[in-house]
Amino acid sequence: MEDFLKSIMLGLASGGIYALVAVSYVIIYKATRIFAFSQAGMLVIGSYTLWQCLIVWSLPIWLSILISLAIGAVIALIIERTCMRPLIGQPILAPIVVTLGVMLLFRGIALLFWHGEVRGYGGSFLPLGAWEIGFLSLPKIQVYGFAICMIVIALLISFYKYTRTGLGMRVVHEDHLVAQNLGINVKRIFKYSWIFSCSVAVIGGMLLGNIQGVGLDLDANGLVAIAAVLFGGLESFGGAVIAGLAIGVIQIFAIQYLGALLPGEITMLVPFVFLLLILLIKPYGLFGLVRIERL
Amino acid sequence: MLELENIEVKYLNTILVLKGVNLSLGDDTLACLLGANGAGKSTTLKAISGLLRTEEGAVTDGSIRYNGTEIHNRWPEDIAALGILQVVEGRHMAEHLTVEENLRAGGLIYKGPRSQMAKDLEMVYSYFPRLSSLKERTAGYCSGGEQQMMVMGRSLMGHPNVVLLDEPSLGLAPLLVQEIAGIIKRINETEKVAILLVEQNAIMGLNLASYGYVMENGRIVLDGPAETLKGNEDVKQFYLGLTGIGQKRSYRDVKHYKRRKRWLG
Ligand SMILES: Nc1ncnc2c1ncn2[C@@H]1O[C@H](COP(=O)(O)OP(=O)(O)OP(=O)(O)O)[C@@H](O)[C@H]1O
Ligand SMILES: [Mg+2]
Repeated sequence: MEDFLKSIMLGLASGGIYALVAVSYVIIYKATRIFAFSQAGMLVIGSYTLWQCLIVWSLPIWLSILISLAIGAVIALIIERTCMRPLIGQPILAPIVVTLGVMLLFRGIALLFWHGEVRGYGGSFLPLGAWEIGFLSLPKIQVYGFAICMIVIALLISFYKYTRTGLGMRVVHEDHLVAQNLGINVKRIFKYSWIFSCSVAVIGGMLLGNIQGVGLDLDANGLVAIAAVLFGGLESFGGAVIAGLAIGVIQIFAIQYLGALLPGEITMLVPFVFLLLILLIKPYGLFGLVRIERL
Repeated sequence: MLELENIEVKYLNTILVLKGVNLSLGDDTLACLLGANGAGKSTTLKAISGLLRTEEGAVTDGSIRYNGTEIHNRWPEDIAALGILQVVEGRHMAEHLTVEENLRAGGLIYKGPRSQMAKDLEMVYSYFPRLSSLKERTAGYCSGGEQQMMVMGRSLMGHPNVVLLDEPSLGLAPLLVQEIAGIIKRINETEKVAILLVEQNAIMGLNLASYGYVMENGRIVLDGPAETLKGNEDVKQFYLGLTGIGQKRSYRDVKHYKRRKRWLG
């Protein structure tokens, strides 16, 4: 029982980050109908820029975070303008190849500037230690990480729901023509979406770097999050969050109970096997938008 | 004052659809544009609103001017910002948003004080009382008539100077057509919005409008005050379904008129 609960807690903690990263894909997909594989690479960039600011330049943590976010936003604008804008409306394969290319480019940049070495933030920027609740011991770093993920997601969803710009973005999510018809500047919304998505991915990268260590391999988390996105339905923030959490938990259970039977890294595959099963049953993912068709 | 001077429109640089259209719309007039399917009515509206650009169409000759400035090379969002809003054929909307969210979205373009939004919603609900009971309904699940009211209300939210209304009566029951016709008239008169109405329902169009244009094969073949058009034999025959002596004519006569009409074009 104790193990079981502990696994769930740990699973939710890593799932929170998957959810966050999944949301970063959904932001771009909903606005532009492009699946941005590049966001897996943003995790790596985000984790390294924070390391650069915090450790190499010895800047205070708040400033380091701000600078990392700003760099993420600038990168977002550059990719949007140079790689993505010309691809809007192109056959589905072209944007996929381009975003994969951008992901590899990010890896390359990380190799070039930071030599791909695994780094740490010199301890942690989140409190260490653990809370003891009954027989449960909750590592603070995980709990804070989880809370940050959920707060960021909640802020984002509230932005969409309650602000004027958010409403405009939701109209763009629905139909680009309708948006233009209403005088909404669709290109500007694309820009915002990339900035939001990259900022979210940078936050994900910082949290992952804090837990797993800063390094090139962080983009594997981005791939797991892809499973979450497909599982939750590409167009649903709620779906991405639930699926991200679920995949975190499933993965921990797999490590716990199957880890002994299977050789090491294979547990990384569990989310994907799970995804295949789900997609066989529900091709649009669990929470894909129901197409409204009136006869 | 909106003026179309001799405009030519091509899709994909090859398909010539409008072949020299002249049309003008005074500041608070209600004019209607009639024509058979495929005549180019929707294309004319899209040329004005700029939505043509999103369909790989372009104004290749002539000019469209609004209060003297040329607008035919601008993006749709810039034209909308001038207060020229098209209500496109077929009730396109943000399906998964609620009716009220759709209306609010129409108000995003208005740059005045934020507090105006609530007043404008009230104004729209007073024109379309039925919408006020549907505020929280998902737009995609509303009936065709409710959706038509919503998209018309949505354009009002943007404080338009000119509304280009494409076939508002499409697929609606006669009673609802009458109701909507009345609302269009009221909007034109009270809000001082110029309206260019495209209609298949010529009776409704000519009854509402003060001026009418008849379009055929990408050209305006007839125009004049609505009253005059109503008396025109060709219009009676082909658009109002009436004949001079009030009885059905034989197909041969119709063919004769068709030939004459082509000559007119
Ligand atoms: N995007 C497009 N690409 C190519 N041709 C088009 C396009 N849109 C319209 N057309 C053509 O232009 C012509 C005029 O179309 P338009 O939609 O303006 O007609 P309409 O008068 O509005 O007809 P309806 O009453 O049926 O709506 C048609 O022959 C149509 O096939
Ligand atoms: Mg049409």
